[in-house]
Amino acid sequence: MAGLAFCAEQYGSDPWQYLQRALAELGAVELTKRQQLIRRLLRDSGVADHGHGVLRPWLLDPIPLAIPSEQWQSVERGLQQRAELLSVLFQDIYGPQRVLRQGLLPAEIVLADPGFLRPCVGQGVSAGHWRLPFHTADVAQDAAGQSYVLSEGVQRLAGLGYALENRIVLSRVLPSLFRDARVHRLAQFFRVLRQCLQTVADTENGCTVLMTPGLAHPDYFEHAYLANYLGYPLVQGNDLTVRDGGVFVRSLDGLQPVDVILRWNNDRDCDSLELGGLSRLGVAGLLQAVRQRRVGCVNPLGCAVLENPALAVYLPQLCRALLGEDLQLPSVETLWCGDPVMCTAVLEHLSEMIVYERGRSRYDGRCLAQEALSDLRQAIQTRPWGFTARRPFIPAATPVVRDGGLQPLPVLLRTFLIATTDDYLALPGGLGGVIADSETRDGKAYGVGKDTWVLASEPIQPLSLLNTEIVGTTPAPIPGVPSRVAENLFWLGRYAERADSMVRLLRVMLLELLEPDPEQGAELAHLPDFLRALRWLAQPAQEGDEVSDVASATALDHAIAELLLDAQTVGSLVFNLEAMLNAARAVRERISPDLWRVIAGIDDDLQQLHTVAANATDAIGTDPALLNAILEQLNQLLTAGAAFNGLTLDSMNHGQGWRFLMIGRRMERAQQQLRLLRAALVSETVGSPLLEALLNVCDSLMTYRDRYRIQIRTDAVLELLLLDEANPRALGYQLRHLQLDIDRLPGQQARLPHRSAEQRISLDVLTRLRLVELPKLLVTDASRRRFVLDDFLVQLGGRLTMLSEALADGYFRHAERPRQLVTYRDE
Amino acid sequence: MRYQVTHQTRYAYQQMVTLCHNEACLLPRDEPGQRCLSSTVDINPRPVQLSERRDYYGNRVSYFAIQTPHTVLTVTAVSTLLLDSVPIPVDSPPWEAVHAQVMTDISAAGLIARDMLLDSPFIKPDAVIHDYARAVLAPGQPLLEAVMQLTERIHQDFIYDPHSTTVVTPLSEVLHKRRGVCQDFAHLAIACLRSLGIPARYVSGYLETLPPPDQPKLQGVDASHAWFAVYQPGHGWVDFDPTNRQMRTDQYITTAWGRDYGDVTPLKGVISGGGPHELTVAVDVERLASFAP
Repeated sequence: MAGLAFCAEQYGSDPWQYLQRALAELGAVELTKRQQLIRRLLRDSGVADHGHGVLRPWLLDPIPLAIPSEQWQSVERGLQQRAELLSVLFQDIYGPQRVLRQGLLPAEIVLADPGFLRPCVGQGVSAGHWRLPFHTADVAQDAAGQSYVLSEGVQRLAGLGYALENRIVLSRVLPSLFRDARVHRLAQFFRVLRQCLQTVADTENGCTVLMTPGLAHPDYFEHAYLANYLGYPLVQGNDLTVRDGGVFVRSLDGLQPVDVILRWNNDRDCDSLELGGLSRLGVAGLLQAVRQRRVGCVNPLGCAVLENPALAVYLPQLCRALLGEDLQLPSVETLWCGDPVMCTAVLEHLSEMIVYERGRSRYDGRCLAQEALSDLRQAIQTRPWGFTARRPFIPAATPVVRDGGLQPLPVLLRTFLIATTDDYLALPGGLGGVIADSETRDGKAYGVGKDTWVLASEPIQPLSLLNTEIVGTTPAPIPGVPSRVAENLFWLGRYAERADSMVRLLRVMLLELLEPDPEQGAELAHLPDFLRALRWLAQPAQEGDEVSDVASATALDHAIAELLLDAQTVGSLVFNLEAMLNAARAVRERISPDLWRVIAGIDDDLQQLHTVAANATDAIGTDPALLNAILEQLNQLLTAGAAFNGLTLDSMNHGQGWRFLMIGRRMERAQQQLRLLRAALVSETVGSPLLEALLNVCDSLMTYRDRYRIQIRTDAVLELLLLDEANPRALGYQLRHLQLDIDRLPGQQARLPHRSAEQRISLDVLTRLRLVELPKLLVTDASRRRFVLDDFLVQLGGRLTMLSEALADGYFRHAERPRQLVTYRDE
Repeated sequence: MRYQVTHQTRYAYQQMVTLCHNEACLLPRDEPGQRCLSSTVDINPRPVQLSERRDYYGNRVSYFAIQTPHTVLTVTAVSTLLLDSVPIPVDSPPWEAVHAQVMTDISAAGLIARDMLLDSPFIKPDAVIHDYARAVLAPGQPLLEAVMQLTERIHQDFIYDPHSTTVVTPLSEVLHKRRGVCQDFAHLAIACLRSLGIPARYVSGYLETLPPPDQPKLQGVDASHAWFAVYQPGHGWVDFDPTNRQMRTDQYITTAWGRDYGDVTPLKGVISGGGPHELTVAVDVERLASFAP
């Protein structure tokens, strides 16, 4: 295991040798074992998550990328200088443009760049802060040990969350090694980040928010993770609004002021009024609010122009002119086609070059066919200023655990700098990435991550990473729950409950099939009732429709295949679980690690069900092995559901967001209860085995036996499942708690003695139930239908739907989507 | 000559608009041969925020936000201007010489000219446009003469037809249909010139229209107009109107200029609510009694 990491021979300092020796002692087999642990930890945290049905291929190598302190310091100094330089350049490009007028930088590098946003000119910067608040770069070493910058990023702190997560995971996987190897800690960086964001604001009455493009973004996990870690609310453009010149979060408690926006959106997608991006991502009027110094945007809008790779060509001369120093950390050699001499060189060697078309694509000349090469040549000649090129750069290799052994693979390091009052502070290390292709900057290219350890020669002062004390004595105000979050929590509750009641019903059905009741004779006797109930639960729109399926094994096969396993069928169990997981992902930052572990478990169960579905034959109902496999998954889902419910009660803050989750659950359980009761009790002909099954599905059989000690009778069942306000599975219980929860929603008390629509409806349904006379519900018509009961249940169901609408009107819909005003033209 | 320009825009929505953020580019800037004596923009309902700034090119942009729920929005800009004729250079260099001269110019004016050589959101010249332009301009022709020839050629080749295009019709379609409005013609001319390495910019404003002899001038019949200008090194910008086949006269009032229509859109905004709407625009360009200012 000689040459274990990064230029080992050059460094004889103790921690370095220690790390090298310790890793060698662990050996490849043990390291491979640790890799399993890493997988599990990453899955639990949600990094490796099935977002949109695709497993993110995120992996972390058990061997850290180790960098000795002295070597790191020189890289850090180089990066600090570059951050300083880009800050000065940003001020100048969006200000007097001296670099253009003095010929230090060809004008087209700025003027033709899609990142140069003319509306951002003259926006000024916050008083306390003339620097770019942060800077990121991709750095790599060549075989000779010289470090180069491959690219710089200033729009967002992309990768910071992954770097943090890697550290947390690896320090758990190699605990003693981490402790003894004198690794520089990350906590200080995050403290300074918080401090830095505070200084960006000119005002101090609002809060800092982290703005994300949303769940569809491939790195949404990171946004949620960092929001959670930093303690900032995670918002999307639509959660924000510009009023009276300032920026506000639309929350359940009304509009809450915002001072600072740490954004993950592209420049263009921040303000649909002036920057022309998609209106659903940004906030109309944001740039104007920035101009008026009402809000600070981090990094400032328009900074994408600094990401133009062509700048690399001119940085040495810009550094001398603007900072009076030589550039310490070079860029990898880059050619800009806007310069005729460089352009000729690029065109001559096009088939050996990696070519970047700014704002569009990347071409690898080595892989292009003759025709494509000549098209590219043509494109470069037509618009030379949009193209840069360089020869492929293969970074130095470092050992990576792969296929049970170690393999040398090239690595790249994403670095992070944050502005302090007079300099920049670097995150010690950064996000290491093992790369197959050295030329991509995109975070997704990091197939395998590496935690990066900067090794000190002196012992490290231990600093707690989590729950560090935040600078300043008064905690920053936390805005109320954004309406979008409340809505997602509401639906999380509803889908969780819907899935839960389907699982319960399906389990009773499958058990019945596997172990038919001997007293019952015909084993499929009450399948029609079950099927009806199942279909009504799954597809409320069909409630009341008779199920035409005959009571046959085929009908059951069909129902199971469709309503249990088919992800394409709206309302199927798999569909509901998927919807639940999506709602959970959308509020990722509000979910505790323990609860997330449960949700990750549900995701696993879902994947299992998908596997079952893929292997299912036509005759599910008569295949005991398959039925048992499904049953096993259903049991696990039921346990996971119980854990989910328990943790939401016990480990979630009982704030307004939580209340919406509970309202969603109670609303759904009430609806499902109504449908079950309708399916089972409206016909007088139903026998006691079905009643028993109903009690079983409703988890109330034991209570029944305990309380009534009689044969199962419809009136007693109705008392227990409909009217009872103490049985958590009864409708009465749901309605009573719904009414109480709704009373406690923001703004409800202030209205009294007037009541809101949702208050009136919840009071109405509860009162109707309380005033109903049980014997009257049991009246039947000529066809032995309990028509009064049926009407009653249908009425309550309709009112609950109205209640859901009223809540949406009152709390969710004020997050209305803005759109572009249709413009007119010069004629 | 003194003029008063009144430009009223009215949006009538079917549903309530609860919030809107807007930018208007309606107030004329000062230009060679033009001085804006006074200007006001009146917005109804009253905006909660209203401020004016200069954009990157020095145009006057009014930002406003309305938080009062409304179904009708009216924006009325009224300006008085003093107009003079602008001297046009007698000589101009061969058009082929312009590009090299501009590309080495790092003065403020030169940087603007170089900006006007590059692609912009509405104008991305392609080979078809380049070929069209190349066929019009004769080798060695003096710049202004060549540009006038292009102006005449567009006027001759294209039919003015407000129903043929919309605000987002791409240039390739305009070129194919041979129909369009002033905005399309200006974009086309700019694309042609840029494809040949000549800086060209988009100008929006008004043109005084005179009623037929013996008839009174009707109110609101004028419209906002657009044309283009070309950069002559050492002199500056010279305006041409392909819609009316002429160079700028003292009947042209410039509101703003930029790379294309997108930089000088008269009124744009992002609204919440509203539903379908009806839009009416009325423009009056009125000659004021002449007296010493």
